[in-house]
Amino acid sequence: MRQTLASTLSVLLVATACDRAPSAATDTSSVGGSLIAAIHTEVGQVLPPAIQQVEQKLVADQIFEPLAWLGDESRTDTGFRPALADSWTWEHDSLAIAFHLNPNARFHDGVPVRASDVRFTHSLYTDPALGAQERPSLLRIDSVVVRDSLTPVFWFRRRYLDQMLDAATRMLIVPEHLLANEPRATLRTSAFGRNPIGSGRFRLSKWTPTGIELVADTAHYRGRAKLDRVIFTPAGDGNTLVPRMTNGEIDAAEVQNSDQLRALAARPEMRTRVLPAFDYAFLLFNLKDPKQRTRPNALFADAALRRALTMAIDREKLIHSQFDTLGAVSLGPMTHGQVLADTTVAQIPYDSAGAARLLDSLGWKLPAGKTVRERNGTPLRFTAIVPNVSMGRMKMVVRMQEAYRALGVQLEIGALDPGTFMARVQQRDFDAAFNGSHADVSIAGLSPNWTTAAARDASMQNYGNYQSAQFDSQLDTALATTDVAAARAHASKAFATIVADAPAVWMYEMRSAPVIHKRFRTAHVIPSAWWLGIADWTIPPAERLPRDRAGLKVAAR
Amino acid sequence: MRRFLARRLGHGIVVVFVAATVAFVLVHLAPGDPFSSILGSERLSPETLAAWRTAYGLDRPLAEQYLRFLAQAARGNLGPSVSAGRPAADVLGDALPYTLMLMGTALVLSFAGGIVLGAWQASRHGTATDRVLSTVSLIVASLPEFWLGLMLILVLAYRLPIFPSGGAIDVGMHDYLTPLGRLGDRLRHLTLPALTLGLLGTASIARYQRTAVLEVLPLDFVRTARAKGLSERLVLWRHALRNALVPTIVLLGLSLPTLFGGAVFVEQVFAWPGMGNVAASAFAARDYQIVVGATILGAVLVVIGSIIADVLHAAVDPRIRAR
Repeated sequence: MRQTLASTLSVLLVATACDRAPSAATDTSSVGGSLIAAIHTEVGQVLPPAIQQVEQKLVADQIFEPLAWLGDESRTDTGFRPALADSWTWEHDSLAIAFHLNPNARFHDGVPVRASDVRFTHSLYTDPALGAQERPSLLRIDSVVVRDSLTPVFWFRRRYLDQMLDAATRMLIVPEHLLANEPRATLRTSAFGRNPIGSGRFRLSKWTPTGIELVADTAHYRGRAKLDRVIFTPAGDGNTLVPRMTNGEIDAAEVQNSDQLRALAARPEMRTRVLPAFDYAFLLFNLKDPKQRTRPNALFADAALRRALTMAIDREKLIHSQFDTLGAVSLGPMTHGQVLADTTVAQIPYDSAGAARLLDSLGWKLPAGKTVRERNGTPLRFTAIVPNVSMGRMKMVVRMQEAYRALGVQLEIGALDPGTFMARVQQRDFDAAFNGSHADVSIAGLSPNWTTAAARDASMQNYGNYQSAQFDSQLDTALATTDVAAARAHASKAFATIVADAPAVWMYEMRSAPVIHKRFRTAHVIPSAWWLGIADWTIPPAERLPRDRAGLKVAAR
Repeated sequence: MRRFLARRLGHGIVVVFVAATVAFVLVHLAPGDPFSSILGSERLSPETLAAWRTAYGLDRPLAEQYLRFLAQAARGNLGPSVSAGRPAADVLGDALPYTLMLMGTALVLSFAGGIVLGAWQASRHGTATDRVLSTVSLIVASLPEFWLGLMLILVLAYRLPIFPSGGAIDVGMHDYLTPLGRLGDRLRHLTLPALTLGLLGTASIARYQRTAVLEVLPLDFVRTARAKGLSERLVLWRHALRNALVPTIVLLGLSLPTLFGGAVFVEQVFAWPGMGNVAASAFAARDYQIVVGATILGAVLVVIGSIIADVLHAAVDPRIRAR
């Protein structure tokens, strides 16, 4: 399961030490070096509002900047670090935020960054023609107005906890003077996506099928990047990642299985980490009849049955055996990487004997000589659709099938190609679906996925038709408050409700495992976005390779 | 000859047209669309999906989409790629040279190695050497490309770091090398993927060539050559082999689509930025434009290969030319 653009919020969560103001006199010995980072999928373009994949974000975060980075997890005003904006002020009883742009901020073509660029960027991110993944969150902003050339003002319809998060960190600012005349309908495929001009500390040098080369912007207003170059190159087959890293062909990569992690961790020249991420997978039950959606599902409308099916799975054991350190038991519709995630939420425990007793009490009994439980002649059998490109989910559902078989439950697996799988899920044409999701850093992401309103709206993502007034109420309260502690308390109650209701078997969340060559001094690696802060990575002169000494000659081309 | 070529070209155009049409229809008939395969697509609003479908022309009737596709394709425009976010023709155009480089090298290796090996084996027909080589070539020809590629990486890049494990160049140093250095860099990176495809091709072609030579060796003209006092080497390489090349030449045309298919796996293993990677991603993503474009290119390769085989066949066999 791959991170999507929403992982940009992970970028914001921890962008602490990487965004320091430059020292007045830069230590030139710390400057220089080349980083070659592997990316697992092809990057077609990096126009920020059109980004859908984390690999695009990885590149775009070097070339573009937001107004501010999220500095810590407090969500208070002091928790944000200046980027394009030097400072900001709350106005009109916290219904507006005025950002004060750094007057020295420039795009890579030398044009100053202005408030109109911010307004324009907001218009792109909220334009449905571009389909920005941040759009649902940014629609909570009423408007962006230009008070003067250096002061964009964000207006909100109401106060909520994540106002600053939404305004300052979700958008990478793009140049209006280069994009304003481009028709919105064709902006996604415009040349700008392959020839981006941003204000970040790296600018594009060249883009070829062999890699995307970025070079330090030596005139950057916050000081040049410490590294000379960053090159993003296709990783190829996952089996070759280890030899490519040990041969020195690649300096940094995110490994995707525990065998790779073990092999690289054993190498003295590599530094490995396992970090929380935002992707989680779950076996989603459709609480409505897929053929007649006004009727409850014959099986899964029964909460007790859903609880029994959850109790039957030893998630800890399955996840450890399949993913080792790269997976963790899912807590619910949240991940450990989220600020308001409550890791103490009571989980439905694994208890196969208890599950059997519960099924018996519900009338699902195992007839003599048969292997599948029945109730009034109806077998306890259902089909779970799974996207066949997700090896993790494909393997896990087979293990679950075996666990259910032992309980007398027949799970049939419907492996589908991703297009068909998504079409069936979006049409709610399934009994059970092994779905995956990417948790937004803000709990506002729960609304379109799990609320009653979302269940009733076919355009929203509550595909399992879960409806709970209690969950809705707790979530609404958490979203409406501006106090972090109160938000956390209400969010915890909402999580506890949905976990107990078991609209899905919350299976696993994936962890991120970046491996970086030790010659890079990274100072602080952001847990959910290891690539942030690359601009401040250094290589001691004595440890540099020949390619690290190439310098910025490439900039002269 | 000109009339022959014109006729073959005409047939080829029909083949490409039919292949493109079949690909177009099949990919559109599959459930889902390019947008449902985008990760996170469930978060896309209906208005966004509607806007995208309009922008890409997917809201039009299939027949209209097809006619527009034909009109654009005739001008070399395959439309915008959904997954890449840029023109599909550009995506394929960037990748094609790498695939041609890999395929071309593998083709030369396969045929050069296969012809020589097969002829040499035939000259030692019945010996232990012949039997061992036959077994080895059968085993090698049966190996999956991706497995062989991984084994070559394991041995020649990981255990013995002689060659790079992946990529087409040293992305960190290539631009700083001398022209000769750059050539060497490219050759080093090309070696393992070309060897993978080349070994498989050599094994297959050697088997064909051996059989062809064995069929020719008992013939009268060979006996005459021997009777004239020519050395066995000259008999084999100058007289017998030339006549035994005819079936192998035909293989040349058939090899191109096979190599193209094999390149899909090999390019993924070696992170070779060719059409294999592009096509594989496009199929999974239902990227209609690239899927159809890749099919067209594959069909063109089949046609070209077939024409080349016929031309070479005529060049080698005077009887064909006379006909």
